[in-house]
Amino acid sequence: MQRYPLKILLRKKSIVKSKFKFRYQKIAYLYLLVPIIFYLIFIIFPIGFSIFISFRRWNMLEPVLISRFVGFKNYVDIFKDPIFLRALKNTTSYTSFILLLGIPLSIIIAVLLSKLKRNAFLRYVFFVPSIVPLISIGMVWAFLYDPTWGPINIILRAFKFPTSQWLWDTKTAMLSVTFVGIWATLGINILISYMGVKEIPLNLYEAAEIDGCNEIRKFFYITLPLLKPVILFLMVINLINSFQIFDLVVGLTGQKLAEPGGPANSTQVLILYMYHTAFKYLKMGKASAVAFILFLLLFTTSIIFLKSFGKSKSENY
Amino acid sequence: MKKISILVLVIGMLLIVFSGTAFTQVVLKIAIHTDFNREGFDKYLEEYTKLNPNIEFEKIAVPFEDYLTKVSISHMSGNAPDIYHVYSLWGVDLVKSNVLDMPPQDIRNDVYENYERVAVDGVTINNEIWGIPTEIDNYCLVYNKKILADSGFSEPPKTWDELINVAKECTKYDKAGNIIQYGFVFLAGWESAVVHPYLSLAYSNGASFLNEDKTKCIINSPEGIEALEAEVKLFKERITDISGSVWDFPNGNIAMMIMAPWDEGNLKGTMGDDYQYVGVAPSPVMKEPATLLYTWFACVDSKSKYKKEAWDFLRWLTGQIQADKRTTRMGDYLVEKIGAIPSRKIDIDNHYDELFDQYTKTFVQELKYSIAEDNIYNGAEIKITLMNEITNAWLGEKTSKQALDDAVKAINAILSKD
Repeated sequence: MQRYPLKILLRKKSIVKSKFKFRYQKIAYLYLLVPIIFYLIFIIFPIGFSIFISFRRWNMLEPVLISRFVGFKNYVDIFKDPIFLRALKNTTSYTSFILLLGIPLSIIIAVLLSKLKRNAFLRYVFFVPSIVPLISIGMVWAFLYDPTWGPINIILRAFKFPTSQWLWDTKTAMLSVTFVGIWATLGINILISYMGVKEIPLNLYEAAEIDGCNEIRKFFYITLPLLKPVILFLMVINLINSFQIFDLVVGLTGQKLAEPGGPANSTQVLILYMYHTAFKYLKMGKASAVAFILFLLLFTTSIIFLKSFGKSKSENY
Repeated sequence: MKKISILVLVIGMLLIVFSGTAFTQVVLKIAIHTDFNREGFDKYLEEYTKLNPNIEFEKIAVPFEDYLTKVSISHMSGNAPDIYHVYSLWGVDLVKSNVLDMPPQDIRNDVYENYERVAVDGVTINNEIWGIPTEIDNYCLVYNKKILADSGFSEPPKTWDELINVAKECTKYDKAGNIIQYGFVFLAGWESAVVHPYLSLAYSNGASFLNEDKTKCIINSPEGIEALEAEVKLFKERITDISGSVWDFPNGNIAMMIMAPWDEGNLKGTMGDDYQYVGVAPSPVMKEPATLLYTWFACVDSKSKYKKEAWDFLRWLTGQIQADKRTTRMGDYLVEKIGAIPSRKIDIDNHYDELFDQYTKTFVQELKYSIAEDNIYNGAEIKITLMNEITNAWLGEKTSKQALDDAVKAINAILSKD
């Protein structure tokens, strides 16, 4: 048997190791090829195509390559359209309410639930709306909100409280949609917050109690800081979902009212505007421009959140 | 043995290939909207297949609000239906994008000579006929005789001012001031629902929607503003509000509405014995009788592989006069199953009993005052723009003048684009 000096043996070992590593990497890339191709075809290509047609006037009925190139005209037209501006205002206000009211409310409810020994039933009750499709929630609430036949006004009348036209009044329509949105998303936000609260070690609270902290101080000085990663997650997820609100608005306003997004565009939102532009007006170029603007808005806002809240990576208990 | 097997295989393959070419099966895809897809339509498809065994049908039923989307996407994907049944307003967009096939000359001649003038106008785009008209729809006043009688009225109103007075008397409120019985409700839910009754009233007042060459919108004339103000008056005086819906008419708490003939089936089906209280009268006028009319038409896709077969089928369905009844099959289907008015003269003449019934009679009589909806490019966007401004005026967000001025500005910008 041939004997090799140690140096050569070690070199041979490293060659074998890197050959093995290279073969291993080749296999890994081969396995990754399928999802990469899938990603390119179904994610990257549609995004690129959408950006491409946002600079053209295309109605989907003719080949896209013969459509007229219009430069930034679609983007300019969008910002001149009062309905787009209304949709942007409504979507922003809806999102703000979800983030500034819905999330804090879910955290408070999660903390209160964590204090109860037997809370499974309540957690269930809060969570159930989250598993119902938003379109169905919208259709049911449209009936509840009906000014003549709806139970809300019937109960208010019974107790001699003032009633409202709710979805049928331009002043209260978007607020009515927002209320339902907060209600529908409360469950999942509570569940995530609750799981975050449960992860906080109890000994921190015990130590705080020994030091004479009351519940309010414990909440602000222990619970909230340690829930920061959860809050960040909730804010980003709710930001993305709220900006893309569509099915809830269609469910609430798409039945008896003059067009979903009514009355008089008081519940018009960005995705609904984009949908109408694409499929009612057959202006795919303009709709793609709206999609790209929405993407930029979400991307920018998410980065701002991550930078603001993500600074405290090193903070731990 | 091997050679014999190969020989058998080759002969078998040749048989399969040639048997296929000897009898080519044609599958015609026909796309209709769901409200048009009533019981009985398949009977015609089966009947035609019996007469033409090489032709089969694949029927695609799409909700009205998704129909244009379906046409666009399937045309883009190269999987378009062969036959469409389209709303006339979409015709200009489809013609401009070369989606529609020009009908054969004999069909165009037949349409020109044998169809109602307003129906021919509906399928005429750039002075050419692009399809075969099917149903025509105009608007009349539909009212609840019992509510009017209870409020002291034995006859429906003839003018808009009379309508406002009658509606005021018929409207009831609860203690909190909410309307529980509506003297009048507006049709709402999609752009045609809001725009058509308004344009009917505006035409009745002498207004026009577009100028002669259809390059400018002129609805903000004094007559057009007056017509919108007449509608707004009902809101201002709290005779109606936006939550009142025509779909509640069968519940018996709505006195009057402006409606089209296709609601007959719904009213008959939902009102039961109370259907006897349904009355139809000409739309109340402002200056002269007028109402808007819109058309549907059957047409063929320009990229269809079976254009000849498609037009042959449509000829048979809409043009062949049945010897016994002296009507066409399409006429029978529209009258008996849809409750709509057919557009072929012979069908209107020979469906007298059905068309001159309690509900449809007035719609047919008002055809002479009906004005066909303008066929314009970007028609859907233009109508939605007008609908939004009309709704703004209804809700008091803008004055009638402001609303129509803004509508005209936006519509003229759309018209000037292409």
